[in-house]
Amino acid sequence: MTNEADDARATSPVLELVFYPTRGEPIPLLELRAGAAVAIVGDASAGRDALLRALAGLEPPYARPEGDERVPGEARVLLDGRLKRRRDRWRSVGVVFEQGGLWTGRSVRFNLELPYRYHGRHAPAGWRDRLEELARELDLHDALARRVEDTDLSIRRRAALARELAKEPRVLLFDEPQLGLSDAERERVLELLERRRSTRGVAVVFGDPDGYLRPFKVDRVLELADGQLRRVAAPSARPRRIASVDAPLERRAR
Amino acid sequence: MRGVTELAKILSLPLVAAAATARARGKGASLVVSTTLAQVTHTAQRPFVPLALVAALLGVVVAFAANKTIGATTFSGHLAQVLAVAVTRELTPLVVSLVLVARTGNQLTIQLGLMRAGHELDALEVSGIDPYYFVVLPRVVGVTLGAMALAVCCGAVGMIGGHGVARLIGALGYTVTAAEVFNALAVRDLAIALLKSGLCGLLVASTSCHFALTAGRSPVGVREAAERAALWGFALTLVINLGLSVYGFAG
Repeated sequence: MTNEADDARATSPVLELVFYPTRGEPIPLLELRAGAAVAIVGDASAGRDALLRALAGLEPPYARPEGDERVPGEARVLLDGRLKRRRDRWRSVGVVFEQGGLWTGRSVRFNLELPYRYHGRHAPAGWRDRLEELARELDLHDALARRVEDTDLSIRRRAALARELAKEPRVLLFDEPQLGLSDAERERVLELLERRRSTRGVAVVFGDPDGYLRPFKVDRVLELADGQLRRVAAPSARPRRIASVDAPLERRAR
Repeated sequence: MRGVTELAKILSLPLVAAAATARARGKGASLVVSTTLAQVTHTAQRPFVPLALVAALLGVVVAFAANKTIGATTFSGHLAQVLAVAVTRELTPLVVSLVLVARTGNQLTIQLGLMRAGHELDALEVSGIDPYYFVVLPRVVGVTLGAMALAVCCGAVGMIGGHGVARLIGALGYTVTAAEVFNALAVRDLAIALLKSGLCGLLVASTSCHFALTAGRSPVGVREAAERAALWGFALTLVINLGLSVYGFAG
């Protein structure tokens, strides 16, 4: 790849939420570039959960530009400027869920290795070494042989983070980074993510219900209240509405 | 109308799992096979002893009832056939179906419902693993095979046990021989018994998976899903049993 292509890739958004009206030009609602850190502040019921699930590609996004509620069209989530199938996204997008999302009845190690063993030769090279390194960095070695139901939330969430980071994702969605972790563990996790952002350009989106991350660690804050997504330029600035996110997404999808 | 939609979704679930399997192209096959075998064991092995006892008891009751009713009549030659048909083709698959709904189906709904509530299924999807292939398929296939194995084994125990106990006690002049009982078991009856239990296994697993995968992500949602799955499971297995019984007696 040429330097120009490298530059273009570095400056173009990694992840985008775009509204496509039936007529007219697409309207970008949310753009995430390599190495960015964004906090989405607001309750799960206000649409935070729905937005994160949509960005993860788990559900279709129901979002539209602010002020254009009646314009027909639909929102889509693009990865590297393209609409990708769910099974092609797995290496690019990592998600750490509230409860970790580890498979109960199996060991922590089984859960860490599951995606890579499943994909076999299609798994990213060197995943075993990366998992070992991440397990060491996140202090998981003593817990690897334990069954998931015998571990606490802190271990489950750190294990989920290790599993997702070993993919070397381009985007990491981390819901409620303060949940279940002690102060020291939280600092360690945030430092690890900071390093990943600066050295490998991983873009991180935090789901942050209490605004815990607002004063530090992130370079953009998006507020969600009553399904309205607002961009907060600076703590003192007046929030600007950028999109409406349909809160009862899950119910609609069903 | 909603019931028709639910029924269509339940019936199409095995097809959805089959399509997901085709898309997976053999990825993680060893994990899927081991989960399937675990499900067969869970479905067939653990409830085998209590179910076999129930089947044997049913065999004894049928043997005595048939002997008392037709033993002294000109129809006494059909005693062995009554025992074979009633126990192997009719009663055992029905009892197996009820146990499947009450035990296996309930357990499946709760397990998958909690996996959904705990984002375990989402985590699989995010890892590029289709839950319909990795989670649903092994359970549907495992429950189906387990139900068939359970019906065959319990049917055999019911026949042998019923006949054996009746012979041992020797009451009421029960004189049917073991050879007569086994000769009375037609391949068609065995096939109907297998079809009944296999279809019931398939439907119970599909019903449970469907309601679990559409449950609300909360304990209340899981409880409601388990309740709906049980009601639908009972209704569907009764329809299958009734339909195949009518077919069996009409043939």
